[in-house]
Amino acid sequence: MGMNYAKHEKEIKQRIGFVYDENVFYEQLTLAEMTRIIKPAYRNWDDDVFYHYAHTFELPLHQKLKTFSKGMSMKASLAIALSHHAELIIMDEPTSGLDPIIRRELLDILHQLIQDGEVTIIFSTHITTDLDRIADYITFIHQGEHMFTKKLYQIEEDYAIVKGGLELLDRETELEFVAIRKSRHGFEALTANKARAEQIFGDMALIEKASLEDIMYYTKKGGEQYA
Amino acid sequence: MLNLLRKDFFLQKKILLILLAALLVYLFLDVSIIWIGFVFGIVMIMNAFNQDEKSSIQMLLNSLPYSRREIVSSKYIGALLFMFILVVTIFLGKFAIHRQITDWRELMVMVCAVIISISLLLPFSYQFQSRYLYTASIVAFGVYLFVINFVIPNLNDRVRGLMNTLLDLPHINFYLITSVSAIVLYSVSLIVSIRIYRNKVF
Repeated sequence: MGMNYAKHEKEIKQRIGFVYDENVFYEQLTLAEMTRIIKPAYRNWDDDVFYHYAHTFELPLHQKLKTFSKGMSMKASLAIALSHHAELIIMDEPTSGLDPIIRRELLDILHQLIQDGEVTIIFSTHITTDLDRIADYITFIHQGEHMFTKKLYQIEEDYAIVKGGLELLDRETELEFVAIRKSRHGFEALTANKARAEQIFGDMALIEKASLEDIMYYTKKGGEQYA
Repeated sequence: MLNLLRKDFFLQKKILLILLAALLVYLFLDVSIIWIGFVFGIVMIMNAFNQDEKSSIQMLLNSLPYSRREIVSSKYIGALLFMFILVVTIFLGKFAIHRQITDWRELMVMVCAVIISISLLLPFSYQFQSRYLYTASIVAFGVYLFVINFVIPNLNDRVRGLMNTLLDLPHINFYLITSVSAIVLYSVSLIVSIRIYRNKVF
């Protein structure tokens, strides 16, 4: 946005919507009352949009917020974020602890929003399969340290799991991998350069698509090995 | 800022009505207004503080387009408004029930007492949490007993002496000194609270 946080804190917050993984509202209020408190804070608040999403998400306006389930609280946060036309929506673990149907539904909603292209969504998660479904960019943070930020399709093109016999490994080939897991029967390793691995090992090893979970696992392991 | 104040009144409106109704009962019984005013003032102000104390609510407030300075200042300004409502209610209530005009000096002593207490309570609650106030007051009372027993045995007399000196001043001077010190204390307290709150993590 090209603004300095210290100087333009309020301006920046006008354009960001936060969605938390817990109920952050006053529990004794109803959603309608809560909205009355939040609404005047935002310059671009749009009642029509709010009622539209409240209706789409099937949120009861006159029920106390303490009776809301996790999924409902999240949808309420999301409806509020959308109603003030946030350009950036930050979601903290939105899909954890949701039942599979609601989770799928939420991902569809997010997907729809991203397709419309007016809003950017940053969302943190431990459930990597969510990302396969909707993410454009993946950032992997391990223990507060930034490991990588890449486009999702790039990750699919670059990374691969290589499986083969132990005889394929020597000091030189081991350097090709992010990390290696050895067992009596052979090895399994992650490469960050699929094309090169194909060149080196050719038909001698099995090269498979790496899932995000594989990438996270091996990146973490690699970090420990060379630390 | 105005929105934050409106929020506090909106959230408290039921409790406020109950408290003010209860206040009328006390007024009817003619209890010393310095004492009831003091107790009601502290309860109203700390109640407004308590309802925002949960860390999830703090996350919400901080994600809305308010600065931390505004969040803290709104509590201090809100406290003054609550006190204003309290004074007006006492004044009108007294007049309606007993046909008495309340002595402005009594009201002033009450307001100053609330301001001084709040100036200490709020920074403490921002630093720790208001639920530790009970513990703190017991500890403070213990320290006080220790001090009057071993360190300065005539502490109470000295305080009384100081009060008498102040009261002996021509009236206007006394009230001027007290109110100016209360205002200074309140402002310092606000600055301290903002400092504390700025570095908080929720």
